[in-house]
Amino acid sequence: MRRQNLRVVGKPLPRVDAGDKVTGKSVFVADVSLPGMLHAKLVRCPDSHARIVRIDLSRAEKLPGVKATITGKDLPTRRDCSTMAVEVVRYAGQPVAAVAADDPRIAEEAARLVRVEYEVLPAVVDPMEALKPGAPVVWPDGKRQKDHRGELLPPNVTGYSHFVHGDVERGFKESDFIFEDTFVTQTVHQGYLETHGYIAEADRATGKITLWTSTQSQFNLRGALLGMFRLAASRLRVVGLSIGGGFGGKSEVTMEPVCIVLAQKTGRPVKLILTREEDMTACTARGKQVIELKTGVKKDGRLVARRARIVGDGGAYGYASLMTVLVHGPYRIPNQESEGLNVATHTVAAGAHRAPGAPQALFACESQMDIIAGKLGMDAVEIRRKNLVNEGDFVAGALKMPRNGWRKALEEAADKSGWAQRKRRRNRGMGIACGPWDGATNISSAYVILDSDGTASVISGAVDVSGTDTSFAQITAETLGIRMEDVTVSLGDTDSTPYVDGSWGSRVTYAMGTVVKRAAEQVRKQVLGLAAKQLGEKAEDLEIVEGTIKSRKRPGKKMQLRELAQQALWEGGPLTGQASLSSLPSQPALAVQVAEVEVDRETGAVAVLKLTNAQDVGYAINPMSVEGQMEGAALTGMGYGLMEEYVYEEGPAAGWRLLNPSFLDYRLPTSLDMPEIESVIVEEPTDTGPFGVKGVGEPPVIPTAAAIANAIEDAVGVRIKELPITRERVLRAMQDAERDG
Amino acid sequence: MKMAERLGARATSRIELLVNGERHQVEVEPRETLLEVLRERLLLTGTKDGCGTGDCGACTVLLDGKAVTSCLILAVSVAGREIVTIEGISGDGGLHPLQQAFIDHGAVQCGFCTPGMILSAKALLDEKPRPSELEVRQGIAGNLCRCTGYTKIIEAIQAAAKAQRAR
Repeated sequence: MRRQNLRVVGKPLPRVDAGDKVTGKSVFVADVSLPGMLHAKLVRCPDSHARIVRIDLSRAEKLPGVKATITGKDLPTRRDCSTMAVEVVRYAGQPVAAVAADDPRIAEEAARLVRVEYEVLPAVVDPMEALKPGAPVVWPDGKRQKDHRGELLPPNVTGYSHFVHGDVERGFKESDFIFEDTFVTQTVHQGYLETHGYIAEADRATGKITLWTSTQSQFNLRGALLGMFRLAASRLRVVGLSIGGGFGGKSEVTMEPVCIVLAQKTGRPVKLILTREEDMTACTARGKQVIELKTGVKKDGRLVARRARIVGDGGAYGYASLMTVLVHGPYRIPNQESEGLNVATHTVAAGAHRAPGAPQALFACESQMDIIAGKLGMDAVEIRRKNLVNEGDFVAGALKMPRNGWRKALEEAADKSGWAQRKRRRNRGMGIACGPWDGATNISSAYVILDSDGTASVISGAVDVSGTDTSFAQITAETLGIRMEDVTVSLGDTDSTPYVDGSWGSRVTYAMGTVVKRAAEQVRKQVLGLAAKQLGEKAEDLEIVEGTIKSRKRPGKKMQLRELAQQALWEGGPLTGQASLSSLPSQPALAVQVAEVEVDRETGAVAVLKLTNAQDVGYAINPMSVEGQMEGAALTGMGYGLMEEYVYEEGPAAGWRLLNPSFLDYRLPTSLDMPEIESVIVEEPTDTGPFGVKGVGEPPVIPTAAAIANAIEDAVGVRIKELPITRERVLRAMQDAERDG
Repeated sequence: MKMAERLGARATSRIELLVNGERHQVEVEPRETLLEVLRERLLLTGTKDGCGTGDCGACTVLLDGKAVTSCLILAVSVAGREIVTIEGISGDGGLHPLQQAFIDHGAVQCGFCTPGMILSAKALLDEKPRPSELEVRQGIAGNLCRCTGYTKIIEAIQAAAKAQRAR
């Protein structure tokens, strides 16, 4: 459904920042240089678990050009934290010291001169191993967790959540069949191309700190650092820049404190740009999860009850994204119960990654849906059709499902992929999977300013990670009746803009778009009010078309917005709008994907030939951007399904090390791996989003791994329940199937 | 001699680099990469550093017309040779057809891989004005992009090839 009367919104227009990006003019943090700037380098421990016996900084400090050195004791926390260990290292690659020097090469040399003596300790890098009695304990002094029955959990469980709806035991009794399966996912990196980077400056006179960084959220980052450094908000300014990808990985504090402390110590700006290895070992990752599902169904395929248990690797300092609700899928299941265990291991902190927790949960849910369909002799689309929630049904944690395009997305995916007409071809298969996502809303605010020449600017504190500035420009241009090229969108810093939550959760165009539209509407109202007086018309009879304000009733009555904006300066001052909100109703989205694969029986290699990706987006403000999100997410989902994995190996002593912290050994999909991707935009406008939008960026990464696993089963008859689906796993499964014949 | 003292006296050499048609005299240490010299000494920051180990392609520049990863090349080894960076491909008449096509086809998202991607594509089109889709994919196989899924990048390169031929 496209709205014909819209001029700018709904059009596939180029991104507002594309010109700067194709010419290399966009400024990323690594591109910033300040006068007198020093360069920092981290000293990191190679082992997963070690006690720091001694740190000798003397040789590094003697190197000409070195201006400061610090250890974990110099950080305001003064105790072990993800940024730096003080006494005990808890993941391989954790920093233990840092240096600042005149140039990056001196800093690197100095870091190498730091001598650290460690006592390597036994480590555990797998969450299931960490649950076993006698496993090394990550936090021996931590508070012991209890489950919902009040029973004490193993010492490495550092978080527990429980969710129940209906009566699961009764549901199982009413079921004709019970399915029990365990699914295992792996740890992966977000894969942004720009590593984390920071420049901190500390004003010795005022104590004010300025931090330039690549972040998805200036304000959340500031909030965390204010607590750590015990500063008033006015004493810390965070400046976001162009961001070279985040995908959730640039949401939390990483090495900012190192830069800030070095800047405080030296009185000079300090820059730290992480290497790829540092970024992969010492920031955050999507942690491994083990998901057990017990599902009861009726003979006709209706889901009756499900119990889920999710064991998530939180790493040493992170927290697993435990999707205890979403693990039940986009389905009506009258009886649901789930528990989530966050398990500490001696690995990199778990953190957000595109639809946190959902790709894991839906890999399990959607793989099992096909197992159930297979057993019942049902079609994979049919069983989903039968169980998909309808408007008004209970979904995702007591949320009543609003009007949606979910069913249409399912039908479109099946239709466009040729599901019903598919022919059996040797070693080829098709699989379908759903990716539901409830979408965040969160605190939002923006300004819209009408300039004296009738152009406009939008100012907010929301970092553009996915083309949202372009959506803001389109929304503003549409609302004010001007061209998109006459709208400038600026990212303000934490000093110059009101608080906004981060650019995550597929929330920005939905929630931030709402405040931008409201602010633009305020300006429009003022414009029409002033014009009504000038033209002797009623404001409601006026419209603004391409910068001209005119009467709908009397075509001759018109004036230029430019003139009016100029006059406004002398009749009350510049016209501005500002809007804020704390939340909006959730608008769950759904991406449905069909994967078509070919499996090589000799090698076990899986080639994904095509991904058909249908998604309920509410309304596409910019269809080209929406397609871009869908295509990129699908390929990321494919990397998750087939290729990417953190591999740990037992080190020379008792510790464990990460084997593959580089893009050579940790492979992201390349242009040669890319399948044909067909994106089908399904529009069922929401009542609450601007022009009917809902979140777009995350849903399409959720179903891909399961769709591929389901297609592999269709192709060669083996069910792989562990990610990534490597050749080795496929080959072994085929050999086992042949042997068990 | 102790290491600290040895490092204190840091040897540099003066070399001439020919970048985007301009001659630059630069003082570099033997261990400095072309990427470091371009970014830090010539302030041509359009060339990006995504891994430093030649795996991501963000630092791609043209060296005598061929796409190379500048993070793996020592600056001293390319003295006098012709280097083209993203800052050097737009002519007086505005954007290069590849740049325009990347804008028009939505091939740009975060933009971090974009300069390297465009230079790999340029090297390809300079050699093969009519590349097949597979040749386009092969031409950019060394350039990672996490945002776009490559679909729109490939479309943009094919469109640029067409636009260039029509000139």
